[in-house]
Amino acid sequence: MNANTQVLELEVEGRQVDEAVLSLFHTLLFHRSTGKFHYKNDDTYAVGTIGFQDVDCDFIDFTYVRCSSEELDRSIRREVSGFCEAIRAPDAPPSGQVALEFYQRKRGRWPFASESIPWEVWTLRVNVVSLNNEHERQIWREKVGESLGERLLHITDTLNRHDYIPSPPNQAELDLIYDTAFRDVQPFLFKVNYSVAAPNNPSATTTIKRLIRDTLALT
Amino acid sequence: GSEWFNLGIEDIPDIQAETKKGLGGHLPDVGKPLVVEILLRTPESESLVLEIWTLTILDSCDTSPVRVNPTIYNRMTVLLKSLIAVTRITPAYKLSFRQGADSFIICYRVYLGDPNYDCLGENPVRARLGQVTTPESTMLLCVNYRTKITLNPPNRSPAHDAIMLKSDHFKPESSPRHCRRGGDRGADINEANQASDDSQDAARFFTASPPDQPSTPRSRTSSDSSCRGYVHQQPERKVSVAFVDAKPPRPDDFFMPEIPFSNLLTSAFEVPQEKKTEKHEGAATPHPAQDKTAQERIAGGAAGGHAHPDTGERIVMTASDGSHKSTTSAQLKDESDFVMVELKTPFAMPSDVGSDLGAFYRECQSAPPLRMFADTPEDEISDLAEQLLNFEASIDDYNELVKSFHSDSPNSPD
Repeated sequence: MNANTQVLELEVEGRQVDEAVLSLFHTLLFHRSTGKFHYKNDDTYAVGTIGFQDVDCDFIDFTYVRCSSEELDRSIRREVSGFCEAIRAPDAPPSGQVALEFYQRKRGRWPFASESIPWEVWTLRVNVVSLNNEHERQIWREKVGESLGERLLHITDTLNRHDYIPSPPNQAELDLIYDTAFRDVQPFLFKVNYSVAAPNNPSATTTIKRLIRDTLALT
Repeated sequence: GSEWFNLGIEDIPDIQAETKKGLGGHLPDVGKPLVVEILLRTPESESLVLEIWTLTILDSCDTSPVRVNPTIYNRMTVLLKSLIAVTRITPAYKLSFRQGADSFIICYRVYLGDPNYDCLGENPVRARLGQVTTPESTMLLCVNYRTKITLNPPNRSPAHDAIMLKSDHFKPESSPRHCRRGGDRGADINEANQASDDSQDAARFFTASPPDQPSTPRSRTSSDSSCRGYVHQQPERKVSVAFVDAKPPRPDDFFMPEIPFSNLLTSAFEVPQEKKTEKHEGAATPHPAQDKTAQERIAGGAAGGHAHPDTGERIVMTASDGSHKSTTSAQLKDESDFVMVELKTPFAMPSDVGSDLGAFYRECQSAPPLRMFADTPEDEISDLAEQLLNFEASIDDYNELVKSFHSDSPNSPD
């Protein structure tokens, strides 16, 4: 099955990378999370309620909405900060990409391990610019705020249009579709990948590494 | 228990009641979308529509048939989440944090029917958030929001133009003193400001009408009566007219004042020269032989009335401006504009000019100007030019000096 892949381009200043990526990923997770399922029996379940809250960015004129789950927040921040450090390293190329992938697990028959099959992949291509003075930074604050607003409208349009979402599972298969590790929220299974090599020439070694890693994934 | 759509949205009873009222017992249907308008309202009861959100129902035959699906509820949930996310990116969201009773408030309106998108100004953003298809119909959620949020100035009809300036305010060559009498009366509002006498000039100054209003009283006639009539029509202007002097100020004085309160310098304290001048001289500073530039006079005037014996000239003494004069006096050009002000000693008996209090007060007023004020700014400026030339000439020396700092760095401890 082909995953729905979407690519969004962003041009930001170094300090804005973190917030820009988080704002879009949190928006996606907000849409792709539900409350915890509480099964009454194998087929019927009640769904908990999730809260949401506003987050005002410090370096961008932008406000986004995220789930009120501190655990989810910490988890996504950890993933995104790895990318930010990589792209802001002194010798790093000024562009990179980070992807949020929603996947399903398929239990593998012995001796094969289970596979992860992505059904929706959101890739952000980030170009980092460096600015010289405060005036330019102020302009970029507003400019990036507006471009994030446009990306958000694109995201909502896509999320509300695309057809495939994994169907609600029975209790035994919950873990194959949802991430049940969090106590207060239940997003679809997701992972974050990134690379700071030039996107046009992904290095062969990273691709092969990723292929092997995914195949040998044990959980 | 869980909430509708499993989202923790706070329900506000007032909004529920308003919405019920707006719906009038009906539900959105084909041709009757649900519309929510977000408006900005000023204390003057002016409204500006900022956002229009619409939930439109499309006929099911317009869309491809879809099986009944438990995911309809899930799709609605996703659409609701999109709505929440998008509300944070509109300009009105940021504006709503700045509302206050004395500036503006944000209001809303809910109704069924066709909205008017024209009231959103230039280049509004039109966005389609998404749709949910059911066997019956398809619901489409859209938002249109204003991008240019300009608050209008306080409510005035076109006749009450906000700008109360004469059109030749900054152009003395076209002021009435230069283009005199008998000019066309009806054709050009600018020239209709020509007065048959100066007093009318002053009144007209504050009641100029905009050029594109040919039907104002001014253009019809230029007589005194029109002026008065015009004033009557705009009662609030009377206040400004009342503050105008009987003797109108010269056009030069209404140039962009470089000196704060410079118009006070020509205020109508026209007191004829008095015997007071002798008294002032007596208390005058030991610099009577200063040059008679306006500047000196002002500096002295602030201190207290340098009245030179040969004056037919008048000196301004306005206490409030004392602090400004010494620095900006170089810009004052016209000596004859200065009027002497008789400042009586406060709290002293008027007739008792020889009293201690009076004498003390006058002594303080006539304190000598500081020696530093004797140096004009022009000298300093010309000095600066010379200094710069000197610096430029020895620029190589300075470069050497800076290089010598660099050469120390390898030896500095790390």
